[in-house]
Amino acid sequence: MIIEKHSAHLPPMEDSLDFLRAELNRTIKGKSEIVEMVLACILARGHLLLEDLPGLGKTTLAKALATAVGGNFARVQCTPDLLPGDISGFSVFNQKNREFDFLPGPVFADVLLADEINRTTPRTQSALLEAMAERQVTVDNVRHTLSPTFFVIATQNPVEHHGTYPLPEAQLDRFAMKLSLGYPGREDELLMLGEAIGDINQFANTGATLPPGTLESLQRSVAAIAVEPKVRGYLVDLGRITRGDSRVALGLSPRGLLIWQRVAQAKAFLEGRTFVIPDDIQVVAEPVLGVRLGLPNESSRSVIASILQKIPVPI
Amino acid sequence: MAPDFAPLVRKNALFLAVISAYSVELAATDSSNPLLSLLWVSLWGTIAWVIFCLVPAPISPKNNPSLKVTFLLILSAMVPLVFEPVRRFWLGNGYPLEIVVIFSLRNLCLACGACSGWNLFMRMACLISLFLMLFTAIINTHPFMMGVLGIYMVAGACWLMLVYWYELGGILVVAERFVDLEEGVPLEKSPTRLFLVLILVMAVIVGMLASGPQRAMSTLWVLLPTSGGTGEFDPFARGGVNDGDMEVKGKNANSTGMTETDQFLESPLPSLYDMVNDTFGEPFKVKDQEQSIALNPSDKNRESQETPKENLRPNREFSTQRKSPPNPGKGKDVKARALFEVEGRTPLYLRATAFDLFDGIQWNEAPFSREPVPLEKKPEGRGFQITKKQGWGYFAGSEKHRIKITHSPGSLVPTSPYLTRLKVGKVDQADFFSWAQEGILRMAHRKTPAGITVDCESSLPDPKLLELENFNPHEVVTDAYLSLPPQWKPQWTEMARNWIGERQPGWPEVSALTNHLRNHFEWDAALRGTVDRPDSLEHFFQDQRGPDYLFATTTTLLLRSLGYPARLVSGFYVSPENYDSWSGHTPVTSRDLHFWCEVRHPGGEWLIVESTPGFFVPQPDVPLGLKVQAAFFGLMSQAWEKKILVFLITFIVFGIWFWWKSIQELFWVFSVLVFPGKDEKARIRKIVQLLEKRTQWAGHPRHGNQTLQNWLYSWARQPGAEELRRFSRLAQWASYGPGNHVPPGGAQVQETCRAILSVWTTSRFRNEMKRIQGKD
Repeated sequence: MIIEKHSAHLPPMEDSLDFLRAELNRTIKGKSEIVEMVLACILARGHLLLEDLPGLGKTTLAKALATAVGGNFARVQCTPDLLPGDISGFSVFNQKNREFDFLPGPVFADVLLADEINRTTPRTQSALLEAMAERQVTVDNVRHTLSPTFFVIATQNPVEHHGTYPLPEAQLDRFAMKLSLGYPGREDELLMLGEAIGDINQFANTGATLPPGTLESLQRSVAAIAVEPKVRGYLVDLGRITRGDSRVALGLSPRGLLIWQRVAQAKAFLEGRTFVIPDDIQVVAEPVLGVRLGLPNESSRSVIASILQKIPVPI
Repeated sequence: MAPDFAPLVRKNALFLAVISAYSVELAATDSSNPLLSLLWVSLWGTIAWVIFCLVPAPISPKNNPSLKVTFLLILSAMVPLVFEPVRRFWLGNGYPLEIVVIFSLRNLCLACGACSGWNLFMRMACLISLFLMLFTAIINTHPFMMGVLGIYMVAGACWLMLVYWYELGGILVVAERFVDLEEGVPLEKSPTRLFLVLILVMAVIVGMLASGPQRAMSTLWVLLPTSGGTGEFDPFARGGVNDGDMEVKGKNANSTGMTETDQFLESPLPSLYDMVNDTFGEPFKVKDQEQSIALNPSDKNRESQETPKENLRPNREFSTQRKSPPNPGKGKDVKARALFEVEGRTPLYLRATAFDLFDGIQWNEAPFSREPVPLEKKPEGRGFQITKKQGWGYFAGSEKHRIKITHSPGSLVPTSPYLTRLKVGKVDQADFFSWAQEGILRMAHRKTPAGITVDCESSLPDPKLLELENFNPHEVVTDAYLSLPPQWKPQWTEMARNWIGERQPGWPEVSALTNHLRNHFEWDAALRGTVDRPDSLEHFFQDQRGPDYLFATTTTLLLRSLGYPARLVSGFYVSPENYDSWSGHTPVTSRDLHFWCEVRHPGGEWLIVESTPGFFVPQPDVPLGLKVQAAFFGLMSQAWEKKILVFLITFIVFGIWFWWKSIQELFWVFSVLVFPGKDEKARIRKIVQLLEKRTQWAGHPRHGNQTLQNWLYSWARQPGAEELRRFSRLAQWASYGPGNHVPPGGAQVQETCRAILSVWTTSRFRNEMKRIQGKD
């Protein structure tokens, strides 16, 4: 094992990234591109919405990620009777000291998996808004700061619509990207089955994690990746053109533009570059725009591709 | 420390330019309000001052001015020269050429004054302003001129003093800079060589004018931009040869005209003016018209005892802007502006008188022809058909003219030559007409009244067909049109033989004679014989210049010496230059009086032979197809004459067209190698541009929305493209990398760039594409 648990010194960044890649690829077979996107999302300090059918590994991926980055992991199974306090936490009266004690909810974890988020009521969904945007929650007029590496992975099932509450646009805009895992390839499924033989707890992680502070350090490095003015101009032009497109329900917001740039920086970082190139922007365009332009799933890819075609790439 | 005189010197130079501009305005507008001129100059001066303030002064006044500034100066000088034709065309008024040139110099002077931060322009401003002052002082008699000259003199003296102190500024320096002076600021070299060259050029020009061939002198002379100096008619000219209309419009229009007339009448030589009077009779008077109008007795109108008012202009107009007449019923006379007004294609010859016998000095008018005019009346008032003699094979095409007679020309009926059809007013009787001389129509026993129109239809001889005509001079019976002073015959015959050379008899010989005269002799309308030089023909041959009647006389005598019957004809040359587009007519005045020669065709027709330079016999209108054909064959023959040059040019043009992409590539590679840019990034970006061009020339350009990485990797996927993959990373760094980052690959940058330049050429891209498509 390269990374020692709770090592006193931070390992080189390349090693940390390779470790994260390896851990995620070991858990989810044949989805290296998705893994790269998930990594880009977490390095950009964004939140991830996984939209896929049941049993494709959404929860497994979230758990593996939480374990690998070395933080606390919490899971909330969203149901219609889930209350906001079940997520943010609540105060209970302590008989001993005759005072109210705050019991923190699952948002105080480093990685929060909100499973089937569209099954809970909008009221409860909104409880996540403050936590996702500002990394803090306010309970009983007291503000509680969350972990600096707080990361939400929400999942939703696109098929079952009965008894669901689609996420409001305001909340969708707080996710950095939306991904779909999709079915693995035949070879990957064969490999998966082979590895399951004789292993009673095949999804258990290896226990290896990044040393504390490594993720934060990586996120700081991503924020420092250079974006030259002409690349920024390209990004802004792309953002502006979405606002005039008749097929787009909701044009890209300035917050969305900021997230797009940060995700592109993370992508460049993952590629080992110190600067962003237009390719980074194009590669992350689909997951970043797919979550916030209000496009139907079936036409999302083609609309985003046509938007990318409209602006000439600067050289 | 010496004060800084530079700004003062500059301002003084600009002031000199403005004063000279004022004197130019005075000279140009002449008699108009001088305050208006001052207003104009204030405008020009303000513009110059604004430019003076805006143009940044150079670091050193001795610096060479930038190309942009020089170009703008030249542009300012060109403005009047470009604007004047536009003004003449659109506004119908204009300035004489010399004034336009002076305007051009004025602009240059002001522009130089405005840019006087450069020593060169400051000196030019002063020099041009001095020239302008001298020139305008000579041509201008305005009382304000003296004052302007005085101001200029004072300002000029001040400028000289300031320049003196300014130049001393280099010596009168503060003590701290004294050491610098000792180290030696190189003194400006005086342009001795330039002066020597200028003096040499001037000496050559003066020497050539003084002792060179007369041709050179006259050629240089006509190039001088004075009014009429080129011999061309300029309607905006003020004085000199060929005075324009402006002179007549002046306050004292008679001054020039009367002087010329007086000199003419005093001359002992035959007076053209008298001849015109004799030929054309008295001017038109309405009371001479013998025509009565029957009135209806019941009509309340009464016949007026007053003479009806004249309107001798060729067409009528009706203005919609009117005020009520002060005395209704009385109109105004509209005076004629010409003898005739011709409607139709010009040039046109109108015959008036023909001469046959020549005694060495004087021509005698040929006797009137006794033959009846062969007129055949056409029905329905369509005039007469002229019955022609034999031999009409050399005519091609026909023309129609309408001649409006505004002044009675006596009994003459002005018609176009080679007449085929005629209609004179409402005359329907052939016996109204008779021949003066053959081909010259007149009214029998009466005057031709003014105010009538003569409709003519005529044929035009084609010189090419004439050359094919049987035109043998020896078969012609001797008559008055072959007479020559007996003692002249051998000498003239020899001269004529020398001029015609070995040409075929007939029209080729006639053409050779006229061509010789047109090419070797010069038309000088002002040259006349005097008492001291009575023999005009002798001096005509000595000077090789003279008026048109000497050209015509010479041609006639030469043709007669060769045995061709010829006659001298006077009449009018209707010049296309006088065409008035407003009325659609060409006025014919006494100034259009002209002499020419005519030779008789064996068929009996008199053919016009024009030997005076500047006059042209009308040619049949050639169809466009034939013109194009002639131009094509002319071009081909010229190309054949210069076949080597044409071949070389064709080869070069074809080569450029064929290897255009290779030439462009060569240019790009050269540009990248010679001008690689300020740093590594710039160089790499240039190479990226070159690669883009190469893929474009190879037929597979980068699409606008294709990223650099995508595009380069699409080529770099092929085996053996390692250097392109390396270059792709470099290109990304050069295009999107921040300035402080080091290039990926470090020391290999140069090698990679060199490899890309030499390996990934247009043909490599083309081959790679073929390979990719082959795999697909």
